[in-house]
Amino acid sequence: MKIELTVNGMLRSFEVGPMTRLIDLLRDDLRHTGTKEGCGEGECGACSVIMDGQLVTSCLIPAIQASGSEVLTVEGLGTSQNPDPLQTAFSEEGAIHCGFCTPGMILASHALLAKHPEPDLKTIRRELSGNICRCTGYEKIYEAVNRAAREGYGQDIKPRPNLCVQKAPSFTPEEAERYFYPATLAEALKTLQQHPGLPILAGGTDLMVDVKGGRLHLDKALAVFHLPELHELRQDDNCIHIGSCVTNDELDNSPLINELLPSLAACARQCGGPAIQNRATIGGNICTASGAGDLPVVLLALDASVILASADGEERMRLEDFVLRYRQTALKPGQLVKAILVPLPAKGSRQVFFKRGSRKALTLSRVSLAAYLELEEDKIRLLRLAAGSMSPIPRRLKETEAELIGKKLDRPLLEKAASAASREISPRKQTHYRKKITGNLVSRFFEEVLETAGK
Amino acid sequence: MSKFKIIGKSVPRLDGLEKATGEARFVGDYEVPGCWVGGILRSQTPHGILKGFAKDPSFDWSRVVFATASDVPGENFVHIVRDDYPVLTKKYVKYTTEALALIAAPDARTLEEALAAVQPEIEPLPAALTLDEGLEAKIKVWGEDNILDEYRIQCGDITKGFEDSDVIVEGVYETGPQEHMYLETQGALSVPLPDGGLEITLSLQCPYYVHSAVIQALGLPADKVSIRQPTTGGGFGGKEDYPSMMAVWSGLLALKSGHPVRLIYDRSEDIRTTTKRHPSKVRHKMGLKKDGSIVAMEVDLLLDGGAYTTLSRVVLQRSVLHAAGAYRVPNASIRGRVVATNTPPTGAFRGFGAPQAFFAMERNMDKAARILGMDPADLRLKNVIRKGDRFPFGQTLNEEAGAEAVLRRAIELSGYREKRARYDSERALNKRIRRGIGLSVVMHGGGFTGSGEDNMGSIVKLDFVDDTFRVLASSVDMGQGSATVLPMIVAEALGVPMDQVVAPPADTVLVPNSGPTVASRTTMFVGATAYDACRNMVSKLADFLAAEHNCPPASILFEGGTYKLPGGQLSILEAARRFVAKHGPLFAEGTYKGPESDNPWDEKSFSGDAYKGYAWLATVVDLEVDMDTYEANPLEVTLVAEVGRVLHPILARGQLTGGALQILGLAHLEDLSITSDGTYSATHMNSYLVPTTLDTPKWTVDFIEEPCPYGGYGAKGIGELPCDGSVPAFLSALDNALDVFAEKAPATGEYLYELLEAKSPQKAKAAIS
Repeated sequence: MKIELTVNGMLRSFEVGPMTRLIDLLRDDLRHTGTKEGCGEGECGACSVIMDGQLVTSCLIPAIQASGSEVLTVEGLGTSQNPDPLQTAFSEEGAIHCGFCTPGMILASHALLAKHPEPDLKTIRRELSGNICRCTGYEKIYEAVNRAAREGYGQDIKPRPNLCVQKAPSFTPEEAERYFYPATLAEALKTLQQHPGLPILAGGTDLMVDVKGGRLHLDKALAVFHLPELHELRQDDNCIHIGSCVTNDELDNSPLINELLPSLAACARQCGGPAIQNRATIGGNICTASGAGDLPVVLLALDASVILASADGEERMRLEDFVLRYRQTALKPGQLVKAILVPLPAKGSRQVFFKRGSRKALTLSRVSLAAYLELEEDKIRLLRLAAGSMSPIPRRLKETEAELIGKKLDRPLLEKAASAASREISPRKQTHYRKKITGNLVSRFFEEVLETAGK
Repeated sequence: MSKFKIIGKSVPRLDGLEKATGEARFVGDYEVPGCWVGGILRSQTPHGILKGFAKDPSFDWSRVVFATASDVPGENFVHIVRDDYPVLTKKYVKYTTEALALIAAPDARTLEEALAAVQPEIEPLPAALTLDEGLEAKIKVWGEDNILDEYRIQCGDITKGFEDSDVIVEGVYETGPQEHMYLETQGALSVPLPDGGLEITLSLQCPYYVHSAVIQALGLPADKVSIRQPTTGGGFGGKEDYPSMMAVWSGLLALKSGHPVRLIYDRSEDIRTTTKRHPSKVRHKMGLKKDGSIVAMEVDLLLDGGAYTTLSRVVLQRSVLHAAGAYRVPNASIRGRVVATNTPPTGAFRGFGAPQAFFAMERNMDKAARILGMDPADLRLKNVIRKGDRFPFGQTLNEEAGAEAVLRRAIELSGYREKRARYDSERALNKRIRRGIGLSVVMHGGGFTGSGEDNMGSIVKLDFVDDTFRVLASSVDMGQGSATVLPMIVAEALGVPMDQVVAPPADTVLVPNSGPTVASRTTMFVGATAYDACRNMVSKLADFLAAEHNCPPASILFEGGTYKLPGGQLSILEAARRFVAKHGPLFAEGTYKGPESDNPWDEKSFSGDAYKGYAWLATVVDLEVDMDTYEANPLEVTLVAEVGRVLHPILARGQLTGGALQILGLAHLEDLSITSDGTYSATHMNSYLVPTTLDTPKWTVDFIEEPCPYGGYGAKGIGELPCDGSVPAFLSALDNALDVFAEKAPATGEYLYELLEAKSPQKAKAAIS
């Protein structure tokens, strides 16, 4: 296929396979070898570039999705003869040791300063949490970012023009039978009708890892991430409508989500690093149907439904019924998940998401727990608990819920709640440990409710 | 006011901007027309007999080059400390992922198809997968007893020492394997030359190690092989031995195919197959007086070496030499063994056996403090080795600062005493977030063990080309900054500005053998050697000027970059220019001359002066534990080091924080084990987890400087020191937070949970009494 990209302010055209990775376009075709491959799975950040203003890991972006975008690589900032102030700051502050993570780290810092021109340390650490450095201990990297911030680097970042005339890729006739880049949702649904079973490529943060590992061969695909209809995020009469391609970053930054579904916002910012959050979609997280998915845990507790769209129309299904088992959903051929509907939480209701990963960022959950609670006076009127990572798919803890609903929420109940939840889950590995943590977290949730109620 | 112009200043690193702009070229960034791709066919069985290869006849094998052990033109060993690691296995397969055959193909896709079209036929044998199974030696992995190497150290009278003790403290301490996770994976690019030779560019630490391995295995004359260093994306010891394999494999394929061959690992292949830090199991027994003074110590230290020796012998040497810690121990008996198992060979990793030894030592010290009812800091202060004391291996410490100084400063800077007491009393409040603080004190001998530095014959060459002094050494910059620090030493010694000196990347055609880039030796010993080269350069030019001016060389003074001549003065730059104009190429060489010792190292008795200088470090870890989830997170880490003179404060600080963070990973995050099929339990970066920004504490760093007379401008080794202290300090902080006593690292959440569950009130009482 032919695609256009604007790379570092220059219009470039490529003739490549649809699944060729952006990192390979940059390194092999343009010889922009500043972009490094440290893992090929979005886990190290060395290949980070800025695409359409968003930090991405270029190893997880297939050409079909890079098509028509504006890309900034380290080569677009400056040269050793004429470095950009951020590059100078990295060099002079001691933020560079071996240099392999450096280009990605500098682009992550650039993206961070574009968003937060005067970041505090907490923001710097969070925004760089997807970029691994094994040499420095990070301290001097923070100092380089601080220095650039003091010099007004963030304020000076200007929007970069996208020179691409053609956004969509033009496929060869042979490719056009297998790869699709629809202009609208209607066109996407029509394509699905004609090619039932076509793999749907959203943000690619899961699928591209499977492709790298040889577990998946995407010799056909329907690209949907670019469809504006799937990024809609709004409040309807009695529910919140979240387009299936809304990203974790969009969730995290949405005032609506932060106000009404704070547990979902909290969850969104605990999955992956910033570059992953810019591409990972809520629909993808559901359709992957893995036990390690985090967003579905919250969505189960919030009693969300999915809107399944096809050329023939739409149907609504509760999330609980949609995800059938590990890696399997009730999606019928010809359908895609158009949106997720979350009922408006009742006034005074409480919700929470807890995650215990193996480290503080960029990590899969060992234990995750979400809860939604409505009280009537001091009695539990409605309770939904969901847990992830401990069963083939995230699931509701209905026995625990049943045991607690109608009970008075007081301190003695905490222990009962904890042990009921511990009993109900059955993790295959690290059994006692995970049972214990789950119980602790259930108890913590109620304790926090009690504490705020007491105030 | 410093007497130096450049030493002690944080000049910008010379390779900083080329790295910041992406211009620096790593091995994967080289564009070579007609380059083929290499791949390795590996064992999927931990132990067995290779019967042959089942090749799919439907694949057109003429499209690729396929090489087995019989294609190795020289000796079928990758030369490291011992010739036991086969280039390609001929018969006995000893570990899962062992290299059995090589394939080169014109492109990656053909390579993938070829690798899928061949299966090794292996008759499986029972495998020894753990240290204990290796030690049992029911299954023979290596020799008759599976002991790759053994060393012993004795001093005093151990039996009497224990008799004289009031308290005996025993424990068994274990650490798991650790992956280096240098951000740039292993990679080599071999180009066959028309004369039958090879030019190999690869990510490495030790160009001449690779050179000698290649000429031996590929049967080439030394002058037909050149080894070149591209920009190297981290090593940490992981690129000390393994690049020799990468070079031999890619070189063999290049010779056989006649094409340049690129062999670059992807992350998963790197994690699955390359060396790791040796897992360890150390039995400690310590006898003390009631007042806390150590009387006797018995240590039985086991390292898991995997299937072949790699660098295990020297790793073990360093382990046993550091096993009694930074303490005065009058009666000691130390035994160390590396055990062979059917697992991927372990190898060099920053710290080189010392971190495991210190983990056990410092843990047992904490246990003794518990039993004696002393604060761990006071017990350490009572026993730290001081000037004039002897190490168990017979060396008398002849350094002023050291353990006590760094420990006292770290206690003060971190607020250790107040916090330790406060956290102790806060435990009773049963809060969800518990705090804990703990410390350790360690030392690290700089440079090669024993007489290594004296026998190495390190050479540094200094020449003058394109109006610039070039410091030529095989010591590589893998991120630590030697390509900046060596020029600083030269610029200071010659009295020229920094921009007048460069350190080109190592290329065996160009640079002499200054030794490998290991053992925290570069600044200290190669720096001293570079200084010697400068002195020779200065006197060579003085001789030249004397001849020119017809005066005795002794009448010419050199100071601050200027020669004082009869009737005027001349800068060294100008002198060099004149020399080149008149005589052509200008160069000088430096060698390392160590101090005379009246107690020289004796390899046979394994005693004497083991190291020419010790660097000292106190580490204080202040952490929090979430009692709901058993997450332990370091909040603040204080590092106080005595590393001789600090030549470049920013780089030195970076060595400490970077090394400490790397080993903090082993303290609680980097959890790795061998599964029943002999592979590692984590094979991707999503399962082998190294610290991110959010797992990183706030650093407090301070240096105490006592210039060392034997190192470059008074420097001692710094690279490995920070890896020795954080794991025990972290676990000590867990004692403080949770009142449990962890004996294994990493101390994962699950392990903490188990410890807390096991702590019934009765058991807790018993532990205190």
